[in-house]
Amino acid sequence: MPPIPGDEALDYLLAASGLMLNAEQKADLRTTLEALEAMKARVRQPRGRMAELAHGFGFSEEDL
Amino acid sequence: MSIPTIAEAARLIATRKLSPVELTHACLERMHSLDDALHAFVLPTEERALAEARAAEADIMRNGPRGPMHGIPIGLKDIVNTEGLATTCQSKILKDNIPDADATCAEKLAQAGTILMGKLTTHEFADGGPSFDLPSPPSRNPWNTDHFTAGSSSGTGAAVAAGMILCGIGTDTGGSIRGPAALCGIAGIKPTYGLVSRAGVAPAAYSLDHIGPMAWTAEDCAIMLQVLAGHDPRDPHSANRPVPDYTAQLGSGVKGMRVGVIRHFHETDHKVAAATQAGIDNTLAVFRDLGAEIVDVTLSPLQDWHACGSLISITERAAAYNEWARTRLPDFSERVQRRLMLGALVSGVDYVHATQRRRELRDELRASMRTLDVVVTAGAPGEAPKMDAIPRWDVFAAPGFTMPFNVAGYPAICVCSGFGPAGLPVSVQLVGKPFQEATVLRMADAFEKATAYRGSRPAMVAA
Repeated sequence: MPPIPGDEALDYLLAASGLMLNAEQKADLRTTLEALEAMKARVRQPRGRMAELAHGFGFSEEDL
Repeated sequence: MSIPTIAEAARLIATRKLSPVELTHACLERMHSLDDALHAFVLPTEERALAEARAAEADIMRNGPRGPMHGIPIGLKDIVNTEGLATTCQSKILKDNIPDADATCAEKLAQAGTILMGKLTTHEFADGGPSFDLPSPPSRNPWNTDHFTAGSSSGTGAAVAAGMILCGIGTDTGGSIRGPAALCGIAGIKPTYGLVSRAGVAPAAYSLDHIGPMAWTAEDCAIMLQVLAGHDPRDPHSANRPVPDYTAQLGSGVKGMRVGVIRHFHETDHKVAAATQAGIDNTLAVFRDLGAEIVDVTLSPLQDWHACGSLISITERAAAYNEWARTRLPDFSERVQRRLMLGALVSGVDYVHATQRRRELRDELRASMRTLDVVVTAGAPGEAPKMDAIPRWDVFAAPGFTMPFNVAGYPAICVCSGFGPAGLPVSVQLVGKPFQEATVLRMADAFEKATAYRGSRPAMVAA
């Protein structure tokens, strides 16, 4: 599992998202970081760059 | 008047033994006596309901019923747009929102001749959990008002269980139809992704959102789904395929059907309460006795499905509500604020990984179901918890049993499979192959008719 983001990284991510959080909210959010990283680890698997997304776009008769 | 199912009411209405006005009055009486305790309605529409009931009665007397939903009292979750009628999504942000058009599902139900009893309580924007910092309070469970209904279609679950409506619209992004159905002891089906139009319904997470029926029985869900299903060009993911007759197979038994059990989901990955386990075991015994074959199925751990669906859900919600999150974050409930905050921490790469995993998981389910008609697991871990026992960060609590079938887009129904030691319902979940709702409903209906659980309503309703 990659390292849990520190305060500076968290501030950067929040600034990039445009969310304005107070200190209490940031502290609350910090309590989730480990669980969120564990979640990400479950979908981050070695599968190679050719692996396709679930999204499927098909062309129908209307597109032709 | 006792509370009829839709099937019973339709037969009585068709033979002029029950008037839609009489039925609507009975539902209104229950609303008047129970909803102060249940908070199932965010906006009752009593005058409109009576006017629609009188019009339905006149129409039926003149021309006969348009179908089995003609004259049936219903409710709409308050994220479903209704022309000229407030649709607030239970949020301060939309407190003055009056849509100028009906959602497709609302329009179809109106065309079928239903009676709109009102807009139903939801979690804010179908997200978060029971919140006390919203314009109106969260709904409560009719089996015990100290307990949670589950959500986000909380008002629909409570109102159907209490007989204030015969059916209602729910929406389901990770279990928001099936969770309230499970905890309120009713039936709720999340159809295949694309079967029921999402047009005019506030999004939660685009690729996981489903609209579907919630009613007292699987048979009633079939009747309601018949009205809702079908192609809609207003929804870009609407499936363009023929709609079968969902009631045609009801009563034809389950002999020869093959039923898979995803035992590790509810026995190992997230061990359910004893009453829920007993309900699942009983369901399988009923199916076996009726001539079905039972086999075990192994999938990836429930935690993988939960992680995949949650990461997609967090990201798609954050995108859908990004503008308001940046400019009006304090106007959301604390629970929704927390969900939106998480969106800042999931990167584009994380989202792509989740969608790659989604394809793998869906392929896995498809392969496992190749020779099966349905698979079975829990609908919820046990009886409804108390209102004050819902975790602050519930997305990181134990994995839910419903999310896998939002990830896969497969149809799934929760029905009551008994009662626990606290007297609250427990449930079982049946899952079918894509667009095989008729099979799922047939199996659920067979189980309900072979057991006695549909004979019990909450004590507050019977009193």
